[in-house]
Amino acid sequence: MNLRLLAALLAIVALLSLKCVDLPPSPVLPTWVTQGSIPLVDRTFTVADFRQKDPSLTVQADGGLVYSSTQTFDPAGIDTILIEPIPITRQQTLGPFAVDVPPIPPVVFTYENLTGVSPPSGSFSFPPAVLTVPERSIGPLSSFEYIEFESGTISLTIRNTLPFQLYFPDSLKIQNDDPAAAVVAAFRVQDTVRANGGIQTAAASLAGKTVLNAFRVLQTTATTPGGTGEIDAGEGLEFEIAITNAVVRAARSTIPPQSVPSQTRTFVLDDSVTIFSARFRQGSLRVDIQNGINVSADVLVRFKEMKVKSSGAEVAVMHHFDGTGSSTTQVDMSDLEFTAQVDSTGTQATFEIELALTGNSALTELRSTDQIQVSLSPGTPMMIERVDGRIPPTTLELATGASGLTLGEVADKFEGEVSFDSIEIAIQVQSSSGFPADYSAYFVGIDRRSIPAKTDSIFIPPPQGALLRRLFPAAGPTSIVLDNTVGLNTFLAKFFPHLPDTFIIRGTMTLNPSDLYAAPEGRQVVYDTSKIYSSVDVTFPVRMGIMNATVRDTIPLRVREKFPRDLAKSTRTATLNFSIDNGIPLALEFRSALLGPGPGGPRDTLLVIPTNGTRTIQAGIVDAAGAVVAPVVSNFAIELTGPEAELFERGESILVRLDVESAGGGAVVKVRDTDAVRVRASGTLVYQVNKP
Amino acid sequence: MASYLVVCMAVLWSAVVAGDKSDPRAIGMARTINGPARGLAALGVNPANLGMNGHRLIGISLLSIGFRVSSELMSYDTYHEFFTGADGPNGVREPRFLDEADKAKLLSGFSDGTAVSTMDFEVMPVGLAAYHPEVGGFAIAVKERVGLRTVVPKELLTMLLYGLDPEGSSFTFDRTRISGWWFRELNLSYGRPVPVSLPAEAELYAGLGIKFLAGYGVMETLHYVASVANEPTGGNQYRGRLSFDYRIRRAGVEVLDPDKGGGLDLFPAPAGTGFGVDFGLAGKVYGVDLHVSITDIGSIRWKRNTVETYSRYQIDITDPFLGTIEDSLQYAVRGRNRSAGEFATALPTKLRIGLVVESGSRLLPSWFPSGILIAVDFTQGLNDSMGNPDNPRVSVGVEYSGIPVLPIRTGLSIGDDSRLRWAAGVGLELTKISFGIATESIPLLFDPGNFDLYSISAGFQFRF
Repeated sequence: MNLRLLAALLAIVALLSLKCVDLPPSPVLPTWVTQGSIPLVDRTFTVADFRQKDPSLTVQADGGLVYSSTQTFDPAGIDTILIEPIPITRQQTLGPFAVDVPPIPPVVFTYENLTGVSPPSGSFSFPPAVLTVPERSIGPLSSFEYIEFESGTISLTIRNTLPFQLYFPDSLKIQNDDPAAAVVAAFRVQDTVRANGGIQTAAASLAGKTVLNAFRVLQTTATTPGGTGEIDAGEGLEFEIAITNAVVRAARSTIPPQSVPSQTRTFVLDDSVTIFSARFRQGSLRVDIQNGINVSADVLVRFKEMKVKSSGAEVAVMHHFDGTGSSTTQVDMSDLEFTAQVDSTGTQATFEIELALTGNSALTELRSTDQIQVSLSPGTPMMIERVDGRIPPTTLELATGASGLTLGEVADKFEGEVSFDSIEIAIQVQSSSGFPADYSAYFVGIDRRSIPAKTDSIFIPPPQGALLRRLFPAAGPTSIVLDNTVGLNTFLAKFFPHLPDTFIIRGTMTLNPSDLYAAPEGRQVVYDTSKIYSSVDVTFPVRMGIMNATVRDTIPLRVREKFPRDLAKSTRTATLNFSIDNGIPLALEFRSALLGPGPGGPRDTLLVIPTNGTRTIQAGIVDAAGAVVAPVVSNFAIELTGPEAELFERGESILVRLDVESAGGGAVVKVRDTDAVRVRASGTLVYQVNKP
Repeated sequence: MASYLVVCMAVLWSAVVAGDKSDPRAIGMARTINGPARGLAALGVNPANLGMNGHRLIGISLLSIGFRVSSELMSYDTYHEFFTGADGPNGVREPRFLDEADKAKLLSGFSDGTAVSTMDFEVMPVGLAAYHPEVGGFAIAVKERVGLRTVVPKELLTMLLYGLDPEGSSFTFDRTRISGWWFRELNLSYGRPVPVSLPAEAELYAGLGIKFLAGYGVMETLHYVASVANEPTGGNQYRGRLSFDYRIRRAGVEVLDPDKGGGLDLFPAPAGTGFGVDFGLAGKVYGVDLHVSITDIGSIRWKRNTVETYSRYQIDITDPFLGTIEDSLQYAVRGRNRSAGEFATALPTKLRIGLVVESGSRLLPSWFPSGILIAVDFTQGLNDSMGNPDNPRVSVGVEYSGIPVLPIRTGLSIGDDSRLRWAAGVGLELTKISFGIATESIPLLFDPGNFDLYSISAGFQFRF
């Protein structure tokens, strides 16, 4: 055949043989069955892992666990310590006092006053004669109107400047210048008053005398034997009157400054609390002063046992009066502290009243019986911040609570019988007051998580080794132990599997009981911030026997879409192989159920897993003490068919139930920190990829 | 017939373009082109050919496009059979269920343990070639070169189909590779006779091409070793063994990264620049043409957006849901990213040796028909960059031009992948324009369902 013809034919055949390619349909991923045998879990859970998450669990030297929990009660306060002074009123009289006695001007009698004639000039002889000394008035003096003397002396001094001697045969009298004309004083001059400057003095008592500011020297006679000499016109007799050592009973007078002797008085600060020393938190003492002395005066009330905290200075209340009047002062006790001077039942305090007359230039009428009056009474309640002393037996109501205990989620999912090998609850009590106290209280446990709530109580026994329910806080914290001797197991059994979620101590406590009030223990220091602190320690070694116990838990499948539902739909068979090395002294029997909407309701049991019975995890082998000495391996498989797996598509949750029993058929076993369980699981899944 | 992809369009659009992967004449002769290529067709193949007679004085090419895609993973029929679903009861396509025979059929495509998939896309927006017998030939062209090459190990698909056996199983993915590239080259090539004294009827030509390169994207697998296994440990328990050790680096312009505001941009600022050289010799002696060239000598240095994704992970797993294991697994498979700094990517350098014997050659007997051209090419990649195969490729091509306007071509090749490829093509050579159709896989033309290689090239070349 011609080659060119062949080539042409080939080319033509080639062109005619061209075919078109169908545009392929959209891709659709095929589906096929594949499988996977893969590890799922290989974890070792040690008790130590669990213990480290729970601070209530500690490890003993032998590796055993101890559950210990301390719950603190709300502190019970001593509350406020109040003292209440007994109101008192004390007076202080003025007493005899001093007044201003002015100088009395001298009284002069000239020769002419005595003879009626003027003296001759030059020297001459005066014959013996009887002379009349005329009456002479004195005053009125300006510094007083009258003075009633308690005591005092009035004196008369006679000076003779004549050249002949004189003798007074009668008494010289001074008489008030008023209608009563009472003689104030009568002076008897026994001796002759010599010539040319002779002087004679006589005195009289003023006690009980009242002297007016105007008085008279009464007329009298004088005799002379005569004499020779020269007499000037001004020479004659001179009387000088003076009042000395005057102590006044009453007067209307000017009053000079003067002090009145102070007086110490006592009052009862509190008749129940014996205070050796105290600091006040707040409150006030009312001090009322009434001045009945009509004169300017300073009144000082000084409290001898009270001092200012900051400076140590004595506390005093001072008021100045311009005449009679009254004042009231509230003494702020918060700045003060008290130190008693005597140890006695109740608390006595003293105060001094000091009176100082500051003087009056105007005429003032005073009497020695005039007085000032000081009244003490409680102001605002006086609260003690700290007191060293003895408080009377004081009963406090106790009603303090503390949160209770928890065993974690186990408590919510556990039911069964648990017996504790040993357990004790210790109530620790401590008080900062120092006062011994008797208690009568119940230890109450409440579990509000149970429906209805459970409650039970134990009457709190005396502290260990004591017969009386009495605390001595000064000796340190007191431990009151509740154990099986007081029925603790019975108490707790009412709550298990929970433990009480609330503890309450309810009752009374009497501070400083009466039999100790007077004893050395009865004197203590207490603060108003003092509290009674208490706590409860629950301690038990994790040694327990568990029988007929069940732990139930529900695992939701739809939370956050964690469960791959496509996997359920596409699974043909699934086998989960478990291999568990159990090194804890508990045996578990496992079963579960897939829950979801079904004929029986929204939480119907769709599937029991495993479908052919439960799976058992044997407990570790334990020794006589209940401690695991060797783990036990349990192998089992859980198989699901495709239809069973498909039920997971509808499943809402899985209910897991674990029947728990301690090794040895519920014997008491010991859980140790090193106990562990190793869980290994693998899965063999036959799966249809992209199942329509 | 909207649902038809018309192969005839390939005919209409086929044209002579540069390069051995897109020239219908080259493809029809199983890409045996080192000797026969002339003019723009010699660009990037052997610049010495530009100096040889046999092409028009001036050739202009506009918007020539070459596209080639192949996959050993599956043929079109396989795809159609298994991956387009089956008719469902409601007329909706449902997934096709793969039975054991189907799985075996899918895996049969991995004859040597891997399946190579490649895609080459070349565009020459404009090219110009000129020739003068005394001066030689000159060509200039701009080419856009885009490619993707993946190597998927058979064991990956085996694991997906059969899973992890209860008796234990192990899968290695060491030969996994992925590489991709996109760069633009300005090629200036010149070829001319070598003025040396030669025996009678002997000729010698030499050529040189230089390329200025702008790189827009690259991804290359530097290292990939991975395995997955499950191993029974007793008590129906298993240990999983995972090993991932790989490094893949990449660089690219922002348009390739949606997170950086990617979008169409024909002239983005390059992420790398480079320079390349083509060198070739051609000679005639005793009626045989001998052509030797080394093409794509050079590299692109990438500077922008360079990232290396790496993983180095080996572990035995018994508890995959531990938090640390989960995190590690994620990083092991997905890897971690770090800056790769500047790095260079070599061009896919090739050594090309070709022989051509034509009717009338003294080497052939006198009875040998006229109008036949026989060519043999040996191509060896000198590196494994940018999809460059590391195994040698040998091809034989024949062109018969007994009817000058309707040349027919055929060829055989081996070496690109695991298969012997039979190529054929037909040309339509008119005076000023040429068309052609060719494929490296005969089933594409005569049994379109059973092909795993599809190539098409299109363009116009005006000849003066």
